[in-house]
Amino acid sequence: MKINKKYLLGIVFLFAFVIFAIFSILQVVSMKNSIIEFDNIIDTTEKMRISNIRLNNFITQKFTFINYDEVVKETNNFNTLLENLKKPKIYNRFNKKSKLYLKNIENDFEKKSYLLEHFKTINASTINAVPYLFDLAQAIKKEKKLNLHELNILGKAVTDTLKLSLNIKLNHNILQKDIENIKQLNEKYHDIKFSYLYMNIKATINNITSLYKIVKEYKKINLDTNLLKLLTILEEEHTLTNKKESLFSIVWLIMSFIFLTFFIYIYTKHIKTNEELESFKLAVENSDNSIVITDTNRNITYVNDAFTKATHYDKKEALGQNPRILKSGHLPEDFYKEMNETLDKGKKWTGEFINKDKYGKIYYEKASITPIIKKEKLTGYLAIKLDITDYIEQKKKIEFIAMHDALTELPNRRNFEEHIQKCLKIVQDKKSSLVVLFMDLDGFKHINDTLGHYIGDSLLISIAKKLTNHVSKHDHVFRIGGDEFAVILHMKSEHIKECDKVAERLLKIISEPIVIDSYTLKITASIGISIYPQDGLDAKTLLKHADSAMYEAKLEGKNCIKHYKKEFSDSLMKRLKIEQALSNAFKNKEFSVVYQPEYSLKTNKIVGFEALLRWHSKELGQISPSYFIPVAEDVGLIDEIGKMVFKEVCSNYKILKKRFSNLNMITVNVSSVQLMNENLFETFTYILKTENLQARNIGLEITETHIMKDITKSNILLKRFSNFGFKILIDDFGTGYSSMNYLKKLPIDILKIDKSFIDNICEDTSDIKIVKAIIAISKSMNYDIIVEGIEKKAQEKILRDLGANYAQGYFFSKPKSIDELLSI
Amino acid sequence: MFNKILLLLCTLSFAQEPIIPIPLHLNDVNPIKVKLGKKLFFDPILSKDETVACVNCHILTEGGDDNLKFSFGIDGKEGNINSPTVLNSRYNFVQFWDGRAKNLQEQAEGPITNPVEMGNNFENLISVLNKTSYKKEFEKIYKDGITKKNITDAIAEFEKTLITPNAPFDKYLRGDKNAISQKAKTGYEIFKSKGCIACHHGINLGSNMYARFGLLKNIKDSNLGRYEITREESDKYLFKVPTLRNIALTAPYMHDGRYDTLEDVVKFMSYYQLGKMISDKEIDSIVAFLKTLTGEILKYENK
Repeated sequence: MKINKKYLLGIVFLFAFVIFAIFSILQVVSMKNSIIEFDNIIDTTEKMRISNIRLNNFITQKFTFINYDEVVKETNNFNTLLENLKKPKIYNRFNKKSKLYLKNIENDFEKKSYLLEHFKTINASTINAVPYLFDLAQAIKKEKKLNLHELNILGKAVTDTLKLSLNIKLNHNILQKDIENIKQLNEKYHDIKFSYLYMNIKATINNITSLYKIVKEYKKINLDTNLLKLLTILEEEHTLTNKKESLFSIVWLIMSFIFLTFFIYIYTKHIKTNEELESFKLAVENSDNSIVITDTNRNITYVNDAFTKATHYDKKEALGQNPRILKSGHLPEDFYKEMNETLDKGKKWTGEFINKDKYGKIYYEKASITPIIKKEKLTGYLAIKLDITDYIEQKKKIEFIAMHDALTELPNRRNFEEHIQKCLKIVQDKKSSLVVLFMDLDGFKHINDTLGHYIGDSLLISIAKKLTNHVSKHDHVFRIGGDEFAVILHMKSEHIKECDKVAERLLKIISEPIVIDSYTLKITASIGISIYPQDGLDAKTLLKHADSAMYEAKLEGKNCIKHYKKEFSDSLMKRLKIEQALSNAFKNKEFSVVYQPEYSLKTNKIVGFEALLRWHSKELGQISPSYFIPVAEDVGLIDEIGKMVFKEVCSNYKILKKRFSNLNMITVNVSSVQLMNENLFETFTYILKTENLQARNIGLEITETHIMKDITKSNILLKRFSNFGFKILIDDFGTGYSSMNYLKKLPIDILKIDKSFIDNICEDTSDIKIVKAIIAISKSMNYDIIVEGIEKKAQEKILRDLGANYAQGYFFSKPKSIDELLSI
Repeated sequence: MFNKILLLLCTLSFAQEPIIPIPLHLNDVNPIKVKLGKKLFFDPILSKDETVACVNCHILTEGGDDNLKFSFGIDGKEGNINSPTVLNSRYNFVQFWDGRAKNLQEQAEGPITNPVEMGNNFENLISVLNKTSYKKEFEKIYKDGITKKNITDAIAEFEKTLITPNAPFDKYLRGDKNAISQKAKTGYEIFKSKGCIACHHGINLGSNMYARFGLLKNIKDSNLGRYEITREESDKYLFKVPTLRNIALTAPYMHDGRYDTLEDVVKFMSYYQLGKMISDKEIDSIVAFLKTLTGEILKYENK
């Protein structure tokens, strides 16, 4: 209806144009008609004037024979012309004057015809009347003897009649006298001819008199004048009317053009609007946004193609429906309540919907709904929605990736922190406790290095699975770093000690052998535990403390559990202090080298020494190498320290050789970091040369795990040392996973069996078997064996029985300074 | 001097022949209308009781009148005027004795509504005609079907065909010198010289003017002629001059049918209308002339 209103004006203008154009055309046509009519009138009037003259002509022929057919014909002619003159409607457009003259003409003609009829009647009887009178008079004169007086009377009467007929003016009384005289003569003679004479003379005089009267009357009628006047008036009127009508015609024409212009203006505007609307429509139809228009009752009145694409409802199905058909139920009622409140206020609402399509599939939409308000009245709603399902899913995926570890799909460190935040709230409300188990796999790095990343990754995945399967539903497992896992346990405060059991169980599960490809792997883990609230109030602290506890567990010997203690944090602090102190240690000459004897089990004589570094810090006191060596490695001091030790060993060898004649070599620990230094060989050989020492008197101890890190690079360097004459020793043998195949490729001279095999060798037969096997292999491979960590006589005996050549340990001698050794 | 003038006046000369013959053919009528008009003319349906047709009083084979002094209308009512002939009535300058109808169409109205003639009214007539086959016939010709105007138009159209050419005198006028007797020729000359010609001339020998009844001598008559229509003193006793065509067939004569023979009428006219003496011989000749005016009814055939 509103659209109609818009177009109504255009229609009105078009209509007005047509009306005025018609007016104009009609005016012109009417003018043309009126000109034709007018010409006809002029023509008719002229004809009437001619006809009138003809009629007048008849009157002049008085006393003669007139063929009245002609008079009738002319009268009829005039009458017809008069009728024609009256017919045109043109007089209505002129003023009343013309009609008045027309009426005058009509009246004149009526009078004229009337007189003409009487003229005809009387004239007919006057023809031959006078000659007949003469004839009669002559006849009477012949027949009757009339006296002179009587003859005179007779003659006078006839002559007077003749005079009368010739229009000679005679007194009326004379004529009456003549009639009277004839009457008397007639009475006197009583003759038939006299009676005819009397009858005729009387009739003739009367007739002629009447005829004159009629003619006089007739002539009075100014029909022609009236016709002329009519002509003049019509001429004037016509000119005037024509002018007026031309003006009107022009005015109508101008009006029509004005309206046409208006119409064209509106029409072009309409076309433009239409084109715009078309463009908009096209834009709306093809928009990637779903566009929905509803009426005030929120029933759908329009949807575009994108809507169908998103919802799978086609247009027919959607029209008339309430958009709530899309409600998925995944959003709370409050969401819709808030939306409706906004819309009811007439405000635009924007938000995200979780809707379902025709087939129930959930999709996400970012929507804006605008109330359509026209002239302060709500007419409906416009909803523009964009399907953001892909975006949301992508976002979820990214969020998942961000919050999860890609390998094990366990929640990651970030997730751990967020999760803890959430948990903390719950815990604070419930006043229960939260336990963080921080877990680090023991020796995982070694597996990764020796068996490859694929095996390492597979191992991590199976461990992750194991952990996930074995924690309760309320508890969560996270992967914090490479081989670090964390478990969050929800515990009631009174059951807090239960967490140890959980941790132990996890340790047990982890230590169960895992088969990956052809490898059966046995791995352990160290677990540090921190508990909320006593060990920390936030995620970071709890994690840090659990980490510290785990570190302690590692130090404790791995495969064990440690609860966080404040000192652990202190030990970390200690490391920082070590770092600082180390930088001054050289300057202050705080390092010293001690030597632990290696002796022959057969002769019980010292055959070698292992040089061990000792650091007595002025600030920190005695620091164990297990603390400061990793720090030295980290801060890059290890090369210098190693060089210093090597130099000291070399310079002391000859001194000690003098004292201990069986001495063959002194062994030096070489860290893996030192082995990375390409100049190590040159440094060592240079020192050796300056000390004038044989390379075979120096042994280089390399831990099994270290050597396996980069076996090829290490191998090249070790071969150079070996070829030069240095003895190569594998320290802590048995703790790594080195296979014999690898060892075979290395230029190894001596294996040092790790202390852990020796500790329980008296009680554990499996250790004996292992050591026995190692010794057997060594002999077959031509390696010498040095057994480490012999602290008891029994141990020494067993090993001697097993056929080990050399040993080292507190039972024989603690490490001693050079001075102590020399003073023995 | 007067004598010379008299001599001039005495010589009655006619620049043209004062009588014109009736045309032999018609080409100014609508044949379909004529057919319808003819049917109506012969149909008594026009009268109130459907007993009187036009033809009752205008018997075409008998001079176009009924040869009665006064005619009889419906219920045997007698009129008060002699039926004028319908033949050649198209040449009458007005219709009826008193000229109250300007033309044939107006005339046709008269008898239909005259209470002593057909005694009908048009309202009734139209409704009656509409129930008959006339309805279709009228509608063929007239858009507005049966109306007063159309009924009278059709009748008038038929009456226009009722002309009587080929009268012996017409033949004579056309050049056949032997078409009429010598006596008739003499009669025609007397007719002219006596002055009859003054009123009875033209195509219809009359019917183109009014004349006073008793021009030279007053006649007592209850019918005042045209005065009855105009109420003008000067119109008293004025009657339309009747045609002399077929006069031999249309006795009795005068508006009141007062004379049965032509001789009586000629004698009467000579005295009252001309005031002239006339001999019996002259009358005979004039009558002989008048009898040559009987023509043949035109055989108008629908084309």
